[in-house]
Amino acid sequence: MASAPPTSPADSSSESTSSSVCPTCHAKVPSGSRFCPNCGASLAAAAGGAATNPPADLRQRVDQDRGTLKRLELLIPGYHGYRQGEDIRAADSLLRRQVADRLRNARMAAENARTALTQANRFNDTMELAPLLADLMRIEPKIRSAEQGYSGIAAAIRVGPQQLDKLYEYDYGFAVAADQFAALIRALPIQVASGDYAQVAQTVAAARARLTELDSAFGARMRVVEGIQV
Amino acid sequence: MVTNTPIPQKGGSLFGSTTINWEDAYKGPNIMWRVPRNIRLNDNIVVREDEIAVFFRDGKVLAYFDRPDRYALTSLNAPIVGGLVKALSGVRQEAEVYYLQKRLFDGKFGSSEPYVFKDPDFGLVSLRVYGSYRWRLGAPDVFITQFVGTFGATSSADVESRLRDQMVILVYSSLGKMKDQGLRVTDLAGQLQTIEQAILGFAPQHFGPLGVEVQRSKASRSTCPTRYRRP
Repeated sequence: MASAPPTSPADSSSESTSSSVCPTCHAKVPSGSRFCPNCGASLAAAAGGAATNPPADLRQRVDQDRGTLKRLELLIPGYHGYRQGEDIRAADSLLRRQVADRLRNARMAAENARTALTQANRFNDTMELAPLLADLMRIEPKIRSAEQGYSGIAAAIRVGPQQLDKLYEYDYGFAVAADQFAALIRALPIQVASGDYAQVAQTVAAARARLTELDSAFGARMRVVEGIQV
Repeated sequence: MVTNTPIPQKGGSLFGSTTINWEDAYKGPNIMWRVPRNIRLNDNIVVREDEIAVFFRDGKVLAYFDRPDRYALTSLNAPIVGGLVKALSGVRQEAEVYYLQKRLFDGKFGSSEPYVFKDPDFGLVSLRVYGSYRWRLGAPDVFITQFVGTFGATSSADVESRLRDQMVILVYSSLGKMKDQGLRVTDLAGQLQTIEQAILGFAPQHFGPLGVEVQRSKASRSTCPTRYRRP
């Protein structure tokens, strides 16, 4: 994943804008609705979750919400670059938090699976989940509090608005990857409930492998963005 | 300007506003800190990576600031206007900020009463369990209602005093369940990791309603009468 450029948020603009049909009550619902206005059913699952309905470009949103003071700062030479950089960093921070939230949701699903195993008296099987949970507890705060991209005065490798934009786009790829990962983990409590413990072990192994991949790609993010990855 | 403690009750600049952060020296074992000042218009709060700030105005939660940044707050306590309203009508808006720490805290637990464990080899065995656990804030909205609003808890010790007994019950009930599945007294030392996972598996239903997350639990010592320790 480190070498492959992540999905760009611009891809979302190509989505169809026509209305769709609620799978529960078959009423017409406006495109992009998360809930049916007729029966209230959630449409996220039917739409394939956030993986196929990517979030808006948060950079535009931050730019639109600039107050008077921030607009004034953009006019002051020397302050312009600071403001521009800070706003992209704010958007990136908002985005990364969503990635971390998805991993937290995945962790909660894994914890639910552990609870289900203990309630089913499968105490030894809970040991399968322990390393996965430990990995999630380590990686989630790492993504949440990751560096935002900064270089001081006369740095050997500069991080300017262009690199920060690239950083945002790179991080965007993790939103999609985290969604896919969460979907994998969400199957765990169901597998435990159905007593398919062999499948649980397989899912955990697959999830750990994917998480390791995600972790190493995230570890390389600044190098990739700065263009110094060898 | 970033204020050093003590936070001024009012004022702090020409406009009357100031910048507030939770000084490291006052953090330590405190899970919560209430800013000792009625928030004025444009008071800025700095929220760090390991903190969440909760902004209350007129008793209502307006926002949880969970993302590290500096936030400018609003209230009716503005220069001239605020003073004028208060002088004319006696009305003053109460605007408060609470900081919460997100880091992990280490607590200890120990049973005051022995637990009677029925072992197939040794018969009735009295067990005492001691250990440590690692907890942190799970859901700030639940936590602030349960601990700050109800008990006025400020330190991790205040919170742990409520968690400790719950932990003992949790450990005993987990051991009870495992015993029903064939766990013996002699297996306790070798099964510590499985016991931990069982405790953590049962933990959400005990601690979730308190807004607390238990992430580690080590029932590091379980003692039984000396006569059972010898072969």
